[in-house]
Amino acid sequence: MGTTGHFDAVVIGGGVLGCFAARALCRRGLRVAVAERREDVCTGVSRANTAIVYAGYDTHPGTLKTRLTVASNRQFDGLCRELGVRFRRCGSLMAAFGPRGTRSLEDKLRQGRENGVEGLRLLDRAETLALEPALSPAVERALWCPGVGTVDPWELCLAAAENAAANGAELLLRTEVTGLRRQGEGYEVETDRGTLRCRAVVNCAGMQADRVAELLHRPTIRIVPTKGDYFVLDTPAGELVRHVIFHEPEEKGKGLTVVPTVDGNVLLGPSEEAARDRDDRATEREGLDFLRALAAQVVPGLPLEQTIRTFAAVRPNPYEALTDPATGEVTLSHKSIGEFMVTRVEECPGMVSFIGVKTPGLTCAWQLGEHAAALLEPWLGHPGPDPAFRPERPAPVRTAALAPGELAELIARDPAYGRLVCRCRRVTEGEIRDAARRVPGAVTVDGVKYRTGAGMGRCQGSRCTQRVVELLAQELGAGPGQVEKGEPGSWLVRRTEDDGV
Amino acid sequence: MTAYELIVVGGGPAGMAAALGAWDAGARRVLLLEQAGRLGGVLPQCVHTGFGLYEYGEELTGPEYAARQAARLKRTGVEVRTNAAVLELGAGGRVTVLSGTEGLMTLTARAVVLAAGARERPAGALPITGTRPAGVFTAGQAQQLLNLGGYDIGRRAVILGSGDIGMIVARRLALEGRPPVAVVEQAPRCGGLARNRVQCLEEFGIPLLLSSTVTRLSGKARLEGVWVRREDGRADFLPCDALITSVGLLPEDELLLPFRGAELPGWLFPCGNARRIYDLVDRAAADAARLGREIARWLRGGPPPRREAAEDSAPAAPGPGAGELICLCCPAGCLLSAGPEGGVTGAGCEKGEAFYRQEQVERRRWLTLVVTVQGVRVPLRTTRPIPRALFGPVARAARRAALFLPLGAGQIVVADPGDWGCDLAVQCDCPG
Repeated sequence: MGTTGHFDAVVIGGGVLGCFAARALCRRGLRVAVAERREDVCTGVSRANTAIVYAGYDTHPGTLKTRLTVASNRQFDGLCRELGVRFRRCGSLMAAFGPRGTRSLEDKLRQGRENGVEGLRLLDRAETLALEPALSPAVERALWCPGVGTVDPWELCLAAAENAAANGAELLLRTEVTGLRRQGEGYEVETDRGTLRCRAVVNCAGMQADRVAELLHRPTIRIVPTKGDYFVLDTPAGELVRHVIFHEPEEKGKGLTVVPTVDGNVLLGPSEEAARDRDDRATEREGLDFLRALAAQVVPGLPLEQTIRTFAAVRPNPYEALTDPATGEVTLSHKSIGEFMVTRVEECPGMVSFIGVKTPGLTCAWQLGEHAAALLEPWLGHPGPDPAFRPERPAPVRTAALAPGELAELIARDPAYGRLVCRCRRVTEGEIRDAARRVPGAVTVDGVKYRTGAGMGRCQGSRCTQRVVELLAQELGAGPGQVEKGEPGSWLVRRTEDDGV
Repeated sequence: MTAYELIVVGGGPAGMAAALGAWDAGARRVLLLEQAGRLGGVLPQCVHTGFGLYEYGEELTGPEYAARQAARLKRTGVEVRTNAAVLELGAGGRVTVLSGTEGLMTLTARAVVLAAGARERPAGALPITGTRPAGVFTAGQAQQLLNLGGYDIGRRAVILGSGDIGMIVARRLALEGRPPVAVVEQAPRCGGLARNRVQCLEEFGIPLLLSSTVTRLSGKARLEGVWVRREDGRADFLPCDALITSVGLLPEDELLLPFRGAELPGWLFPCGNARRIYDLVDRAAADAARLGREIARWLRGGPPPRREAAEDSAPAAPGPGAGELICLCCPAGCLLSAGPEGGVTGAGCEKGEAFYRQEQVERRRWLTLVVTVQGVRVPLRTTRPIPRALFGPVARAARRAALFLPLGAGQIVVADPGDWGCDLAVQCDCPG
């Protein structure tokens, strides 16, 4: 197979961490490859989450997590401008409904101030309800954090991937890492499509990151998956929510998070449940019922009948792996690790592993990427900044966001932008063709959905899927029957053989 | 900026009827805008019979019904634009249109009829847990993929919801040689018309599971099965590779979102399914035509149009008892039985008695199907109801026939395929 070559660094995993790590390495003029098991980037942990850009008040002072969150949040507008990504800095309200919650807000206010989070304020009920009428009047206090925002996780990850690719990173899709070996002063990364030689490895394999690390070295951290359910509500409901709402429950346990997304929807969730395995993305009755009950209590006016989709996300929870020197048996620490773990073992210089990066991983992905690149600098001989590196990524056209004049001009150049395909999200044929032509381009219906929004609206693709399949088939030079929804085997349609009555 | 008297948004049955009504009542400078490349709305994918019974007194198929309306429209001066998607309705009758040929246009009209039809409630809106694999379709989407796309969407489908579209899709799948595993209905009785329950499910032996619902999906990449909660509370796993949901239509009212919470402006008139969901196209069209006429008169100084609409049919008849059968001649679904002195009781009209007598001898039904001719999907129909036993031979003859474009509406493509005295005709013009 053709997937061989020599690189300065190989990034394993094309999620948001991997794509930003690749971008950071490109910034230093290094030859980078990203090995991704699936047909597209952003298909694992990065694909489904709460879409929040955190501010850094709810983690302990002095930790890497806090430092990166605070720094990332401050510069997030700049990052999104550079990458052409929509970012809605809507602010957040952490809402308490009794004494326990209120104490917790006071603690977080103190902690946030110590962490350097700006603009935090404790509000009384009247102030809270004036800012956020969607909240139940039973709210007692709220911690307002104007810096919190929301971003589309796919858009962010795709932007990073496109920008890395534009700066020379090779995105090796459908390339699964099967082995890792030290080889001289570097590594051999064995994949199902050939062997990659490199000097450094950045392991961003998400749910599989511990297994990838253990291809090379002793267990350090192991992942235990949990999952959480979410509701997505239609855009009229979205107009009722102005802030990210974090519900601080009175009883010990999980609260509710309510997010007004950049697309104008509302995201409600997540619940927290055990996952059967690392790929368990099934929603559960208990989880959805739990969210429904909490929503009735926290945001009672929110119309759950406007639900257009429910989904579940898996989270990689890191646990310390303790190896018994006598038996070699691995046991896990009692508690999950709260801090971001950047794993480097002595016997593997030139390898950085991110194992069990969860919240606020989306917020910090780009900082973690830069962090990894910086850690590898000495090993890679202190590469300087590459003057040819271009941090800007031209954003794809969204016709729904264009002014009438701009749209008219665009259609004059390419009439495909005048042919509407997805009514709900106002996506045109031009946008879908462009999604397939970008690098990395959409190769599945989900790929089109994440890039353009087609099929993500209130009819959930019931009207546009056929057009999307046929357009994508044209762009890929394939038959419609070969166009899949997402992962391998997720076929949508086949050609009819005449085998009827 | 071009000014019209009336702009009709949507070229489906209601939109066409509204434009026709308005023109007939004297409106001029009438524009009809359709998002797709052709008129008809969902009618072209509805290749089954059952349209036009009230309006034309005939058993028309969707494409035939659409063609009649379009032909009438052609004889008027109504301006028709296809590939024209309305993006926005604004103050004073301003209509923003995205056109595949002309770019972005802003038009104005003294009155605007919104006939954007309906959208289907997606599976995502339902309380169904489990995975999110490929293979979950809405009934209208399934109909589009099967009839217009010519695709196979699954070998063993489960249909959720016993609405009319769901049952019609069930029959289509059975005719394609892939009868669905079951139709699952949450309510204790069938949701659609009795005639559809009989013709589409019972006569094809497709089980209808009442007081049951799909609770969970299984399968990672493609659907592998669904969990069904039955009336007695037990959960059954039904292996299947497609789930087709027919769980209700919602008025396509997104162009009305900017006006919600307030009274609609006086120039804006929703009609057809965009206003409320109708059970029959004929009724939606009749209401729309009336609205069109009233708007035309109002534009000339008459009273403001009424905004109320006609009532639906009476609820479907319960299942037939011993010795009874449901009349399939029209949506009324009269319950027929033998009357005194060899007569028939229960018939609401003269058709019922003849139907009852025919059923005693032999069941005859309309057969419609779609074949692919040089890459174009061509809907066909029998010229009269045929014995059920002939469905197989006639369908096979249709699929074997060597056909070439162009084909015209009404053209006989297979003469007497069942040796019984009925032909197969093309439903609509299929140019080369």
